Amino acid sequence: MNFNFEAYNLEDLISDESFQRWAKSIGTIDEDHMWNVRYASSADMRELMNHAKLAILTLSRTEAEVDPRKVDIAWNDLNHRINPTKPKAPIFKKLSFAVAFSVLFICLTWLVIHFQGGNYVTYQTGYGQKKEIVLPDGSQITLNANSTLRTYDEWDKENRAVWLDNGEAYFQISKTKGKDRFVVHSNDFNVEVLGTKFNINMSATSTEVMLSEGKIRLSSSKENQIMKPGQLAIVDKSGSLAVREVNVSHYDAWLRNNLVFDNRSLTVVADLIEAQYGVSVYLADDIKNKMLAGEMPNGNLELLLKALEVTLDLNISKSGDAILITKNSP
Amino acid sequence: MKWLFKANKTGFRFGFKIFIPNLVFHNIMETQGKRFVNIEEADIWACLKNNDLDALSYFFKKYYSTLFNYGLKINRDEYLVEDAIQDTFFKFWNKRNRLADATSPKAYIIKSFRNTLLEKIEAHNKKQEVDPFGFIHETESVQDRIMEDEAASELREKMDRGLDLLPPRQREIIYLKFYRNIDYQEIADVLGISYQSVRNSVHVSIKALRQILLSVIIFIVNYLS
Repeated sequence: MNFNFEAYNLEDLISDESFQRWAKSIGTIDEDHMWNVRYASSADMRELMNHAKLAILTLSRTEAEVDPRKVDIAWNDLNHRINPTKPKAPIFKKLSFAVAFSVLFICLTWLVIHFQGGNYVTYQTGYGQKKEIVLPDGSQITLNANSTLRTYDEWDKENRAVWLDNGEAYFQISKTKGKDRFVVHSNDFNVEVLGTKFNINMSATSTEVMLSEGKIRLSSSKENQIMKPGQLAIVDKSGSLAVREVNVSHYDAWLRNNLVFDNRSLTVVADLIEAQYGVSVYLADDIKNKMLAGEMPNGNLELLLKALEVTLDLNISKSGDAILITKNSP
Repeated sequence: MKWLFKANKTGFRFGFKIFIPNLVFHNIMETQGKRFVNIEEADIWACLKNNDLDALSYFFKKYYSTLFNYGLKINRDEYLVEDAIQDTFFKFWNKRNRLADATSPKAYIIKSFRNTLLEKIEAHNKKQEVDPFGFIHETESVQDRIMEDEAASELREKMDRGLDLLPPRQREIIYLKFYRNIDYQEIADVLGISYQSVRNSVHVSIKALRQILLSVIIFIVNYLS
């Protein structure tokens, strides 16, 4: 090869891929040999090559690899999205042994859980109750009435996780130094956070997630969505997501013992009263679609019913656990 | 304040829903790692086109770090970048039978990811100004360990400023070449330009950085002697 030293300047060397490999000691034997011959050819060439090598090493930086566990979790997410119901049959055939083993393991785990009563700690609230939970990492969770939340009994610092089985809860998740994830699992979706404040409200037909601060990622079996503060996501049973902007104070009002309705039908209000106080509410057909907007006192059923009666001009009668709401006939 | 309440034995049903898939997928992961040892990536790509989920997993895991780090240089939003990676591979799987033959799956994957991410950024920040490739110098240089004193950090800052002054496209190419060790031909495929333009771009960038590079070189040479 005819090589012209004078014509070969610093830029040429640095931008030559073969030379880059030599500088980083990742070239092939032939390449190495070729450059070593040039290196030995003259003092000028040696200096030029040394300088170019230093420049390449200065430009090159090694970036941290992503934690393999994080990659595994991401792959699980993707898998979940590809196969929302169950993994494809061929994979199962190949892995029937592994699956059988897993099933055995699950059974054993269940036995251990069942007979030792360990593994999960469950927090539950009854009708009209509220509960403050402080997790070992300093995160605060407020459980609304008639709600169930579980955590592992042994707190895992790096994989922070809780399960909201039913009801409503407000989360104030603290950031950790290692930026560890915090995941709220529920039946229909997962919420993944770093540090933030948000509310989850589960009902029979759908679940609402409202974000007051920070950033969270919602993933259902179908969709994946990043939420911004002030947004409300509604997840239905099929896993579909709908996001809209809302007034935050309406959704965390229950923390302040208030109920706020922004144009909700009486049917929704009745559901809410049933969930919170464990009563049965019967609505007359002609008022089911009546809309309610405003803030109502909560925590005391009598007071709430009274306020409803006056605001919407209704007639409310109560016998035992049954509440009948009809139009106020003049 | 810790664990005040008794465990409720009826609630574990929900735990299984999460447990079962996790365990199964974990086992899949452990078994598939060995399958693609010493196989050309183009062939693994062909497997993917042939409905092989293991092949998708191979590419996902192999290039996750590359895509994640590269994505963060384009947009700082970790979640957005993660979502873009998910969407990229989700699309691969959904249209696996219609995927093009790729001589370099690496370039094809990075290119698809880049497009997905840029689309996502546009959709997400319609109101905000987007600054793709606004920064690349947040990671540690190989030389950082050598240059530990003040003069060194001054030089490093100079270097960073120099990189900042490059046009975004040139900066992106420098990143792909020197940070991620990606071949010129692959960079050309990713950015949809010619091999020669990539090479020229590096040449031009080095020329622009020449003075800074020389002062770094002189510093190191003096330091070592």
